[in-house]
Amino acid sequence: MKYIIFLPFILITMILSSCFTETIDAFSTINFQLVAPFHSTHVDKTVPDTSVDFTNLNKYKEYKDNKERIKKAMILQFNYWLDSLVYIDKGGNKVNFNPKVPNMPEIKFNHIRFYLRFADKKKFPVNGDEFDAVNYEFSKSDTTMYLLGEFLNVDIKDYFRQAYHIVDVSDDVARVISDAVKNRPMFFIITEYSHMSDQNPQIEPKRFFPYIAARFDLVIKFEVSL
Amino acid sequence: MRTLLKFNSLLFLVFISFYVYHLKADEYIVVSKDFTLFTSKNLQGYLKPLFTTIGESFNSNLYSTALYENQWRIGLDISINGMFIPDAHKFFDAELPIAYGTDVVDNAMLKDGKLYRQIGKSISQPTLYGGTSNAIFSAPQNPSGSTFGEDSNGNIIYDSTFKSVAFAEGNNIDFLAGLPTIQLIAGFPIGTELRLRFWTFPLQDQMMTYWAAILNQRIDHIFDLFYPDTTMGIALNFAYHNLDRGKGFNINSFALGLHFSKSWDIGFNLYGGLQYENLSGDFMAIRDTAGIKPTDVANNPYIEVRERQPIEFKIESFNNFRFLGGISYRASIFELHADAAWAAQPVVTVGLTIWIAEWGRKYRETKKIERFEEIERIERIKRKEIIQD
Repeated sequence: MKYIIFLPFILITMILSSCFTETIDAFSTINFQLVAPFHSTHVDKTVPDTSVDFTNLNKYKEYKDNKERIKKAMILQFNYWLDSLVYIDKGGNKVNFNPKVPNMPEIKFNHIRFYLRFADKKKFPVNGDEFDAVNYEFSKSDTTMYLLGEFLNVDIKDYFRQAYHIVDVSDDVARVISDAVKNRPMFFIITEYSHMSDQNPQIEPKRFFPYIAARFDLVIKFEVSL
Repeated sequence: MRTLLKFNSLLFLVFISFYVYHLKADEYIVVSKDFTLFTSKNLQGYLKPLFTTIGESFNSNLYSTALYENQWRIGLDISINGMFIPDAHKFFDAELPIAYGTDVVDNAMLKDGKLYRQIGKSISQPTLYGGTSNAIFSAPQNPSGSTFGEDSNGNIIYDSTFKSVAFAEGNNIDFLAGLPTIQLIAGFPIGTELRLRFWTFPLQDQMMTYWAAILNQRIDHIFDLFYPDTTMGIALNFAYHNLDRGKGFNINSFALGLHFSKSWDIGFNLYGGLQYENLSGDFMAIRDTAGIKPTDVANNPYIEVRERQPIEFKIESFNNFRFLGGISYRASIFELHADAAWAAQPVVTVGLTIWIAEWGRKYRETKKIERFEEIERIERIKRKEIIQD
């Protein structure tokens, strides 16, 4: 009878022991994020158009050293801003856009969209640099263009060296590309620039910009097994 | 058991091991030159709740009674404990690059749909026990090539240095199993109990050693506080712990407290106590600079990381006080004990003591019986006197 007294102790011990298992599980992975910066610079660019930027996560030591143990790789957020833009004014002159200068014209895109498309190494690489985009092409096995996010009514003065235009990548997209990013760390980011808001495609099919230097930072989360 | 040992070999070492480049005996811990996720201050904040857990684990199961008999005895005690992690231990104020919050950069963070802008000095980010972190996006304001200043080596710091930053994430821990404790107990016939703990295991090429000495001294009998009641006792407890890994880190912890207990003949014993405890130490790791010129800098917005300065910080704990209440039950040579304590991270502990040998007990009851007899004689005399009157 007196051994019934042991039961609560045994119960507590069992609960705590199960917590050990849970704790071990919790600490069996470590999560960290890294920022992959993209510098998207274009000379003599016309819009609407797309620009293509390449990255190979192998250039990040945090990824390269742990890629065998990476359980998940998710793109969480990205932002977009313009570092520099040269436009043609009504007189045909090249002008550096600066929102701090009075009477700057309104330069507004209907939208800018960002897509991810996986890359494959070319059968015959141009050079031996594994980080050089010229050695890669769009993947033929996965031709999907994953929409990461978009910005609507993009007024350049609001995007000029402003960091706050941040987009959360939707869970659905993040989930779909998670496994793929883990196994295929080379991908292209395709930026789609729409017409300008004051651009009539029938009259002015293309608008010319002598120089665009855009930046976007991609935040990627890694879950790594210990 | 192997898994447990692997786990309880201090969680932070698992964490550190993840980043450690190599460790050699009698050498500093060397982390990879690519260990760029933390500054010293941020690593300190990220790990402080874990050190709190370690400190509280150390200072758990120091006693399970205050009735230390005047006898020799030897026992072996095994216990496990767990800590409830409060929300306050899931976040810390992470320091930010020095140009953040100035007009050198525009920065922003999107957290739970809410936008934060022009963040400077520090920002709340998860500790090892917390959840998801949030990156801070940064856009330099001045034209390309603008300079912010010079570092301590005279290298130019460009505005573009202060790029976006990301942080480590936590593991969403609400309850954490602490360190299992195995200790040897020795009782002495002066109402004293000594508990000793020791373990060591290799952390790569260097042995890491933990030892602790816990001294419990009954004091109520000195002042005859409860005399002739022998079911209650008060005792002082003192504990000292040391965890050492050569030049890498050293942790010291001590506890000082007062505890009380009451026992019943059926084998039950209730105990409780108040304790002050402390944990302190030093952590130091150097960044691997093999193949790097002294003038080379890392591509990082934190100057400390950029210059590859050592990771160095004081080990601290959130906890200083603990109120404890518990119950034990003894049957034959086995004594089960369980207690709960209110502390910075509330603790529950359960354990088993096996009393291997007990001998040489000194019974104070002899004196008590004499006193009872004396009282009885006096009473008899008084009664006799009353009758005679």
